[in-house]
Amino acid sequence: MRRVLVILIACYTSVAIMASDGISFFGSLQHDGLFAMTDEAIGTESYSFPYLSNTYLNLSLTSKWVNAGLRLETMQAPLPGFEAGFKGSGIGNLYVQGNWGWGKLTIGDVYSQFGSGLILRLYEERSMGIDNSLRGARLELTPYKGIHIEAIGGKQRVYWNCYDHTAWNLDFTKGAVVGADAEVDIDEWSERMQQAGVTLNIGASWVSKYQPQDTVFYSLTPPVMYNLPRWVGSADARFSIGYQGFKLLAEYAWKANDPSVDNLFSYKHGEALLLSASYSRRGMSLLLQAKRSQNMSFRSDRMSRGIAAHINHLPPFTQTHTYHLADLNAYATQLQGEWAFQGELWYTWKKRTAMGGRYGTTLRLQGAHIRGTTPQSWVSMTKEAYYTDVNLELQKRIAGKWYLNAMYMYQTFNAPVIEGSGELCRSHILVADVKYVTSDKVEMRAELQYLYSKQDEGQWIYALYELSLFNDLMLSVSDMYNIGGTDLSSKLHYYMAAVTYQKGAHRLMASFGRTRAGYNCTGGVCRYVPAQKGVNLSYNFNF
Amino acid sequence: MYRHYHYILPLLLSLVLLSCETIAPDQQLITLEPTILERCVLLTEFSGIGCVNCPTAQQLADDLADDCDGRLIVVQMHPAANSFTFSADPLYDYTTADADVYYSHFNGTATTPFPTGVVDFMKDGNAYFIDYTTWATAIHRRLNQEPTLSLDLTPSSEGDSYMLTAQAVNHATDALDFRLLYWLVEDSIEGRQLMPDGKVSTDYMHRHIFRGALNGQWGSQQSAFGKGSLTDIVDVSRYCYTGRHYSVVAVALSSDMSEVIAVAQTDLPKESQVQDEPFVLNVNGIGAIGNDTTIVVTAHHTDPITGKEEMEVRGSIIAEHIYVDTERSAADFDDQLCIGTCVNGNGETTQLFDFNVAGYSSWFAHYYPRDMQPAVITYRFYNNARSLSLTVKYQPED
Repeated sequence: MRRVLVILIACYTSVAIMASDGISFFGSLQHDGLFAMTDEAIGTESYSFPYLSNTYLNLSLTSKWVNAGLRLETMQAPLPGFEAGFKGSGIGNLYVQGNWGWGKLTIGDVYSQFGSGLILRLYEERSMGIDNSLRGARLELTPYKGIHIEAIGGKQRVYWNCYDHTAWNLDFTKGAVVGADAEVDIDEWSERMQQAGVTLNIGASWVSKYQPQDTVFYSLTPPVMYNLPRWVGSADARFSIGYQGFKLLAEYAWKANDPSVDNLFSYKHGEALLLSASYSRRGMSLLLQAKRSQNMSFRSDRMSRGIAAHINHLPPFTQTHTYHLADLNAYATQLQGEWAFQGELWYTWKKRTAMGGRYGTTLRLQGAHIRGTTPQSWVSMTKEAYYTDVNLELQKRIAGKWYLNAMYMYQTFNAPVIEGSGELCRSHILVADVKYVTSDKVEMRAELQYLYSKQDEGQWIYALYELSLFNDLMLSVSDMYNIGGTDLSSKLHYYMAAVTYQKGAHRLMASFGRTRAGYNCTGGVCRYVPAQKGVNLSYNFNF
Repeated sequence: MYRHYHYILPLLLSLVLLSCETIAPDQQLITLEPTILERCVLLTEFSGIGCVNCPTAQQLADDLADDCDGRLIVVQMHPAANSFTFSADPLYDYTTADADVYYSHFNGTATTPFPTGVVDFMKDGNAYFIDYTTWATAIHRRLNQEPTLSLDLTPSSEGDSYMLTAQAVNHATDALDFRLLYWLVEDSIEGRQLMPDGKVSTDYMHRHIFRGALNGQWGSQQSAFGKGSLTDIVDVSRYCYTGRHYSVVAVALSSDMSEVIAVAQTDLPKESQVQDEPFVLNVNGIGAIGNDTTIVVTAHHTDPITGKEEMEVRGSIIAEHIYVDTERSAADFDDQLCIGTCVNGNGETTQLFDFNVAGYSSWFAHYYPRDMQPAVITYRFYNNARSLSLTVKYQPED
């Protein structure tokens, strides 16, 4: 704690001194808390602290040549549902970055992504408790126009392992991740291509992780242990080509033998192939994507489970839904292998046309279908689907001050595969979202959602009413009710009332109500959140 | 920079090639010298009927136990506190309050991923729970540690009583004190389980299910003793000859509850020594009843508290998941007070599931007739394997 205070005072003093030299200082504070209450009906857990919270303070300064930043985090009594290692306090991120014309060198905690992230994606996602940065260095070079080269290396952050060793997690004999990436934008070398609206990009990456041998036994009699590789390498190649509104992307990633708890200590290599085609023009866009991944879990710690220690990220190919009931069963990328297909079509009919009406109409059709891979052949898939999602959404301004969003969605969710328990669930979901803008200062919005299913907990209904006043204040009340529960104990109301106030750089939200137990998913990564009841507080300040 | 690219590229290529270690198929496993296994180790497995990977873990535990030739004792607990464990269905409820106490001691929560396990009650690194893919490693480490205490369970029987004598021998130079726990474990229970293919099996064989702590969750504190032995006797008569695969696991736990010092297990006799083992016991104190239809005559009597005329029957059964249906041929009742044996119409079926560690359930019925006419009620107790009819005739006292 004393170390933190010294750093803060040093930062403040430095800023005060350098403020006159064109140096910018900014930051943000985020605090999310919960006064947890017990509610046996929904199955809340008991906590040793009455108030649970996660707090982040970001401080950054930028100048012509040097940038620096740090992030202080405290979650001594974290919000429910985070993994055990998430609890702790200290400096979660610290870096210094030097810039010079064609290069940039960052020392400290670094983030990066190579291509689509199939072999490296280092990022922070606070809602999931993810921060898999490397503590080391990152070098970015642009030696010539259209050429981007990057090299990165360090020890991965796994929660608070930066405090595990006296060397502030710089002991690379305990493990390290290194990598390099090169991308070439060929169109930047050709004026003809640029004039024709053609883009052509090729890229290649390499990432390798080092981890000392672990003693892992295969059998006890006779005692046989695994010969685990200390270095595991991976490579990625990609190209994309675009012409006016069309774009094609292909990316292939390969990973060497990487026996771990994720793949039950298999020595098979991993691979992933991603294909994407899109077309967009004014008023329309089309996207088609396919992905096959097999044994592509890539962690800096072969013994890790859960959401920690991932080096790469496999995109889920499913849409993240913002409507409650549509997001009730969210998909988590299956690390052992999957075939995923996704398509999306947006079309906007102009105003004053037959389909567009007076104000125009936008229709969106989206679908996703995911199956597992099987060993029969490279193209074979499991008979059962893991996940299917087809939804049709209509966005329309139906009258002067009235706006409508309506959606129908059909979903199949293979819970035993995705969550490890439950049953195959088929649902039909209807959503009506109506907004009424009375004036510049007052807006009202109401949502009504209905989910029909014969499996799991049956039918659900959700209603929300939201009132925005003077651009600063928002009030909302909502309720989610399980009308299909087979016994009284499952017919529960999950009510919530919230007030949000925003003024300048400050945003304060307070709410009271119940939250159902379930999975919170972002980008194909999910964490289980237990049932909660209580008063939620959230404060954000940007300066 | 451009002049040096012909050095940089080969250097980078070398780095790429060196940073990838491919293990040939014949080098993936390393066989070590076998060591003499000196001690017994306890694997406490946490599982749930809604957990899709738990059958794989149970098989792995069985394989490890076979590998260890009796030196590994596996106990499987189903804590109600975890989301993979369903306790709402009494027919397939393997949860116990004792299991939740141990689960909480190991810092288990609703979100702890299953399957998982704890070896010898010890932490592995910073946490108690060990992923099932690495159980073998933790078990091997413990198996090769010199034991400070050895523990044996020796059965003895005399008449209807069946006793276990636990003998602990201290091999350490210092005096040793510990807590001695006795756990009831049941094997080979056919029931429901979510399988790795996502389908529910209704005839899955559950192994090593923890049924309860016989002498309290944290057992009895044993006094410190030096070189030599200590004995303790526990009466397990009620769990014998029940038709169920019971065993008792004795656990010597360090007094600070941080380590299992020694563990032993012994099976309890399952089969009855008497043919046609009683299924229903002690009807109105009469004693064991066989499998044939039996007629019991019982009289109306005046309830001293209510002053009402009532007919009463009570009894106990010694198997779980017994169903009973009733059929009456005469008499109407003003009121009834009963567990499972209320008569609301012909052919009513009820499940008796007041199961407890003792292994038997009680049932009773008090009927308050409108008049003093004789009544005949037939009870049929049954499960998948057996059935017993019991006909009770109620008639007014002379």
